[in-house]
Amino acid sequence: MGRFIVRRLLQFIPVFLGTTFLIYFLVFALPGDPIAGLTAGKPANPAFEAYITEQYHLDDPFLVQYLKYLGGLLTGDLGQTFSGQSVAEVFAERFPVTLQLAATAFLIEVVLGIGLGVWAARRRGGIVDNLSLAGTLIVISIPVFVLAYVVQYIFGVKLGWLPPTGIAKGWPVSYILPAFVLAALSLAYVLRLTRQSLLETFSLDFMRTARAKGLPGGRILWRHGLRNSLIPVVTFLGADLAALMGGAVVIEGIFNIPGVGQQLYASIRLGEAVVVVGLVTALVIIYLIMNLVVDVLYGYLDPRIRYE
Amino acid sequence: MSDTTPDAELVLAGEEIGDVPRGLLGDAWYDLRRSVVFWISAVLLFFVALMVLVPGLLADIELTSSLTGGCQLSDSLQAPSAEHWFGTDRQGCDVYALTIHGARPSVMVGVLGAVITTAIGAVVGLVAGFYGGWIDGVLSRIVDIFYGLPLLLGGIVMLSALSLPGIWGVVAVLAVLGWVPAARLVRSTTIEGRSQEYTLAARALGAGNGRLMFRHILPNAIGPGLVLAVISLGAFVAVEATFSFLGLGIRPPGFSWGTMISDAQSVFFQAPWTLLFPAGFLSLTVLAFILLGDAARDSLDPRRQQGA
Amino acid sequence: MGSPLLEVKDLRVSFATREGRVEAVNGLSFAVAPGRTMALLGESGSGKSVAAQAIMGVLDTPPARITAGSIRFEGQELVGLPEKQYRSLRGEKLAMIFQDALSALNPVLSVGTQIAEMFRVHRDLGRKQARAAALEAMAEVRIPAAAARFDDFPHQFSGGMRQRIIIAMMIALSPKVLIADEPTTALDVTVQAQIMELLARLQRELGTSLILISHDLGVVADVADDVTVMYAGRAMEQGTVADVYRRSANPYTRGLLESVPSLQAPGGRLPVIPGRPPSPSSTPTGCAFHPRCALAQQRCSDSAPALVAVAPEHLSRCWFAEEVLSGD
Ligand SMILES: Nc1ncnc2c1ncn2[C@@H]1O[C@H](COP(=O)(O)OP(=O)(O)OP(=O)(O)O)[C@@H](O)[C@H]1O
Ligand SMILES: [Mg+2]
Repeated sequence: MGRFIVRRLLQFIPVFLGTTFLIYFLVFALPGDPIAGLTAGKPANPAFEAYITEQYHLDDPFLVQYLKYLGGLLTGDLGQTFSGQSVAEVFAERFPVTLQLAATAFLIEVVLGIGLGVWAARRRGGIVDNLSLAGTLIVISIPVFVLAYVVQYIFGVKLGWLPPTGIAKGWPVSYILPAFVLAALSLAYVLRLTRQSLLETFSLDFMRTARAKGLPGGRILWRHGLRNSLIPVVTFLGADLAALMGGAVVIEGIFNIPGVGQQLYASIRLGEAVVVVGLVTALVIIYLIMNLVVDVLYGYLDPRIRYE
Repeated sequence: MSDTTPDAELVLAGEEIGDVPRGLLGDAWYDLRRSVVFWISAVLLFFVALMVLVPGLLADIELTSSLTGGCQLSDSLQAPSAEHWFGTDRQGCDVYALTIHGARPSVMVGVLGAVITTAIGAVVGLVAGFYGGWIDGVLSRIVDIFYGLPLLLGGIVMLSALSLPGIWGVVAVLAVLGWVPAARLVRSTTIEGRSQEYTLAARALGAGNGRLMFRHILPNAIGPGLVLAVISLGAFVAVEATFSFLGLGIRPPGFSWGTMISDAQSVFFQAPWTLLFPAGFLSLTVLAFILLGDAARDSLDPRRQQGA
Repeated sequence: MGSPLLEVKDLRVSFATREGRVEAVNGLSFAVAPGRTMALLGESGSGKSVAAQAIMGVLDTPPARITAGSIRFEGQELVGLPEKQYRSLRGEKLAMIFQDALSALNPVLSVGTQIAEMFRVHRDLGRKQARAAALEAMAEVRIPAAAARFDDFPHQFSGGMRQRIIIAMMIALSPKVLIADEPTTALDVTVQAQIMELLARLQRELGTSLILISHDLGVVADVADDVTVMYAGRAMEQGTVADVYRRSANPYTRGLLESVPSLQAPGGRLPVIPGRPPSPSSTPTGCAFHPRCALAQQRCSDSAPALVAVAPEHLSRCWFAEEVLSGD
């Protein structure tokens, strides 16, 4: 297991370099004038242009630019806002809120998604199965920001059960609605994936062995069935962290949650591209690190990967 | 059998192999026609096609713009009525006309995105899977890097720095960041197909690389590739809406379902129709593509055809 | 034969399929006495595995259903037995070894865990004691360096070792009846012989009754005491190995025996039974074997013969059993 983790860490390095390079490339090397793009067509402001040129080393050859930018990243320099605040500081200040929201959403999708998925698979063709299949289809079709408004309106405004915006009431009350909306799409996928994967596992030979051994039903399901079925689910959950990060931009904007996403949402609308690039880079790095954790978990679940 | 020449056998084998995908697609079509899900999606898609191809038949384009005098500020935010079936928005434009004419950009992004990502993914996956070795190694690392940059976050960065007119910004984002799933899928089916016995047999009988790729290996990927393309088409329609909602996609005076929803957010509580109609059309369109993909997947699944 | 330990009577199992219900086992009867080996012999698709799973109570229901018949173990009826009681018999008294050892083992649990599980569940042993007991079982089936390999996973073993692991798991609690469903088909020849030897030794030591499922006539001749020859879900012939192999009273059995190279004079072409076994969805009328039978008459397609005694404890299902028997 130790060797497996080390190997995964080593594989992480090129992905980290490649992904940050890709971000940098997408912003600065595509045809067009990056400064015009970064100022979003605002009247040219020589001071700001100079700042961008300096922050992103635009006078250097491209590769040198990237290396300097990478050096900045590694020392925690993500650039500055219009008002001169450090983007890294803004991120550090706001990230705990986003983390809280994303973690709550993740918890919801894992617990409800896997739980309902198992239930649906065990009672195949039953009420829970049919309801969840129809329900997930609806959730998958409705774009998340539409769902956000509908949920906010019904539960926050009309029924008044939970606060429709802000985090004044703290965790968990203020986080329930946004976390549910943020989790909804992924929950639908986790549910379907768990159900399908479990049904496939049920038909495998070793499940018959488990029955022939005279094991109790619960043990067969949880120990022999679910563990195998969770392998594709965990793969999905790893990729899904990205969806949570991206979704947070929309959800925090709509529900007025003061996290990184809300800052991004606002900065996009204000055309503060430096802040946008800095914050997105930070989120992507967090995503890569969490993906690494999921990979290790994957190795724990599936020994065949571990010894590959 | 003993007196057939190797050539005759190759021809025979070739015919049989040619029949495999055709037979599979034929069977799939037979299954599809009997599927309720397929017909629901077909009916929905018929209306989507009408809106995209001949919106002028359904609603007058002039009603969507104040420049043509189609919108009167005095009509602002009227509830649905006989005159304005879906009510009016803040500018007093007819929501019905906007919704009909907003379909084209949203669906165009989906179609272009699906075609481009599938093409890129197919080429990358085919080359990586077919040649293997270091080529596969390099391409797979590149895929990993792109996988490390989530579509929504990467798109936000790209669109903040890049200003392309109309739908082209979002299409560019999809082309750059959206091809990874298709590449992974095609790569794995190629590797599978490469080791199939009939491919080995064809190779032993002297079939060239090009012939192997296009006659023996690619046909295997068509089924799953088609399913993925259809499902991503639906997802890309939602992606366009999300970017437009964030103010990064289509910009005024252009409009799409996404921009309509974005414009409607500030008046949602007092005039929910401004949001619900475009959102409903958007959701039904996404649903239609997902259903079509599901139905196609089911009918292409060889396990189902054996009637297990 | 002494009083039977396990008695299957007129067992019928059907599956729900797209084309309606099909009968995979169609009135199968046989009995196994303590300590003896009964072989179920038959071509692919004749219903051997389905019958075995029915006895173990591990059929997937649905689509499978036992529609008629009885399975008695130590006098207790197993058909319709509540799951809880059935479960306490499985592994404990009835055990089964599967055809494909790799897919029969759980890929994500270590082999030791999978063996020790028997003791933890059925004997309520603690982790440590279960481990010790499992190691003993692994040594019993001659897995080298058992202690070192306890925590390894199935994919790290060779085919023969995997089958030994399944055997260790299944004999762990000294069951009274062990069903081995083609335990060696997935293995190469030398390993096949080792596994069969191992099974024979364990059977002697534990006094277990063995139901050996196979289509290898040679293996059956070596190991079994009694044989049931199956065709289309029914028994075609039943008796001791000597009776069935030397004095067969059934044209199907004769066809099978004649198609084995070693039992045939060298040189000539091997006779094979023409045609293919029927699928359960289209079993022929009358005697299921008649379309492929050289002796078939009008009568054979009109009505089905019963399984009747041609000698004490030697049964055959054929309208011309006596003629076939005396035709030697
Ligand atoms: N799940 C199922 N659904 C429908 N039919 C089935 C199912 N399982 C088995 N059958 C049918 O039951 C018949 C008997 O199958 P079984 O597996 O018992 O054959 P077998 O004698 O063990 O053959 P083999 O030597 O190949 O293992 C087969 O013809 C098969 O078509
Ligand atoms: Mg079998």
